[in-house]
Amino acid sequence: MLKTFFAAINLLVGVLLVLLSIAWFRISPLVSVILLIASFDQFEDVYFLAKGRSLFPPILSGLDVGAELMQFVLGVAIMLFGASYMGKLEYQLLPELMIALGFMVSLSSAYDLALMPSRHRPVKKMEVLSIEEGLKRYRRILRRA
Amino acid sequence: MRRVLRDIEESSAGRRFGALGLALALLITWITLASFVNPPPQIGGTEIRYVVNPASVDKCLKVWKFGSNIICKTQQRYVPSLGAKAWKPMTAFTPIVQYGPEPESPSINFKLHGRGSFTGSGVVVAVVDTGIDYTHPAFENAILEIWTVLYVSAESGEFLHWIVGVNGTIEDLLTLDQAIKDRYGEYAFADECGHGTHVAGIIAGRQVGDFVGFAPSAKLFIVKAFWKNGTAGTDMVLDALQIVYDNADRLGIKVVNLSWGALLNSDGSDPISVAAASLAEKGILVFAAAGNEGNLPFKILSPAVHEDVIALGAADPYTGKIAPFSSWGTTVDLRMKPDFVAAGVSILSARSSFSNLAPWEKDERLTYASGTSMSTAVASGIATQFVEYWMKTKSKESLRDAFMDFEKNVAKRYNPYYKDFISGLGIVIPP
Repeated sequence: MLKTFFAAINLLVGVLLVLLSIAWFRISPLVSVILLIASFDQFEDVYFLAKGRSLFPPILSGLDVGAELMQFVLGVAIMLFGASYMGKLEYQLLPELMIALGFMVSLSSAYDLALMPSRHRPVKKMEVLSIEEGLKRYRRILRRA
Repeated sequence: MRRVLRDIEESSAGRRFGALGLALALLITWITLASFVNPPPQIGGTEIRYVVNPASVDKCLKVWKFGSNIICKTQQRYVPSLGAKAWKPMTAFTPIVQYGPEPESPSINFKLHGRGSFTGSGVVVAVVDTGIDYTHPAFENAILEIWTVLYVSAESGEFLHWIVGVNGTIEDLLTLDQAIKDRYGEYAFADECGHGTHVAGIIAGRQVGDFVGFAPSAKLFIVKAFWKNGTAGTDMVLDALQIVYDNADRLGIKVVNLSWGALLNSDGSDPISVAAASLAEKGILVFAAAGNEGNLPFKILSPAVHEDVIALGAADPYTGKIAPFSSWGTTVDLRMKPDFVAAGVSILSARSSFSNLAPWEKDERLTYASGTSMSTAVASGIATQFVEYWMKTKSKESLRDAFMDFEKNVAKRYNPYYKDFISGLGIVIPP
């Protein structure tokens, strides 16, 4: 359930970053490319939450952390935007939604950062044992017990 | 088969292809969205279209020249050969709405901004609108020239205009205007709508009772570009902007007020935006209304949508809130607009005696109105004060840069962190 929630948040942030990337293209192509890479990372997060493994090799973990930090900054910016307009608009729905959205975006990036160490750990290969070897090991465990 | 697929998926090559697929999908999404922002040119049809900077003006029915920018009125079937985007004819509008409470006192106009330390002395402001009530006491010695795009002189072929003190007195002008009205059904210069008079009064209205405009020493260059119902076609608006462009250097016009617009979903490349921006290229501060389309995104009107034109949203001086009718950005190409907000709810100003607007209960020479038109006029008045300050300080910075730098420091921000799509840089403040 939690994973689905965070996957949805990551997807939303990914789309937001694509839009921001388009917006920034005329102002600064470099920033636009950085935002596009960050959006790629968000979609990769969705893949990770769905499949349980990362598309990035461990060598690119720095990039992953950078993109997560960008997501955190975006979340804080959305929250500040919402807070700025509390009581300043005829209807309060937009500021309240923005604060909630910003909080979720920041929380999601914090969650992804917390999962980061397990994410880039090399996966241990499963050992396939013969029936005899398996029984041997089972007996050894029983003896110890 | 299933096992083979799983093996491929679990292999390192599978991971790489997964990442590649994801990157490709993202790139396709980006290109699709970007193409929505910059749609390709329209082709086909034979209706009238307007093209900015065509490759050739041979097929143009009419041409407007704004320095290096050329606007061509043509037929759409010629567009592919011209190789430029074609814009349909549009209708610009200047709605005047008496929304909001009846004001207690004219001081409400200054509540959000303060009065400022200057009066706009020596500054010429151009107002392109529905004309003006030149007989109103708020405009005594305020008007330099009045032009109209509704009538052309049979002798010279020029648009009809009146230079106060050269062509005659205000009484002579009224006699001429009444004769035109009697013969053709619409005044050439007088304001039957009431919008232009109200807007001009906010900017440069002289003292009438307790009322005074933001820059009561400034001079006005008036261009009547709208019918009495407050609408105008593309030709009329372009003609009016051409008049301002051609006379700007002669009269030293420093501020242009455009309290109107058209909802074109433009990125600023439409002919009206380009024409208005050409004035900005001359070093003039050009202010335009963001629109009264409500608190909804992507509702900025042209020409306010152009990045060189300063777009104004409206705030409620009674509550300090953003007005519920004020249009929000961003632009279709995701730029942050409006640039500022100013007081735009129940603003008191001059009432045109040619219009049927209800007078203010305490003084029938005044009336109140709401809209981003009013907030644009407030900003133009404040900018007029700034021009006087700028001229006195002999700033080497360009007028626009100086104004923007000044306002970035002093504007009352709603969002103190960054420029956004609701209030831009906040409430504009006079020097």
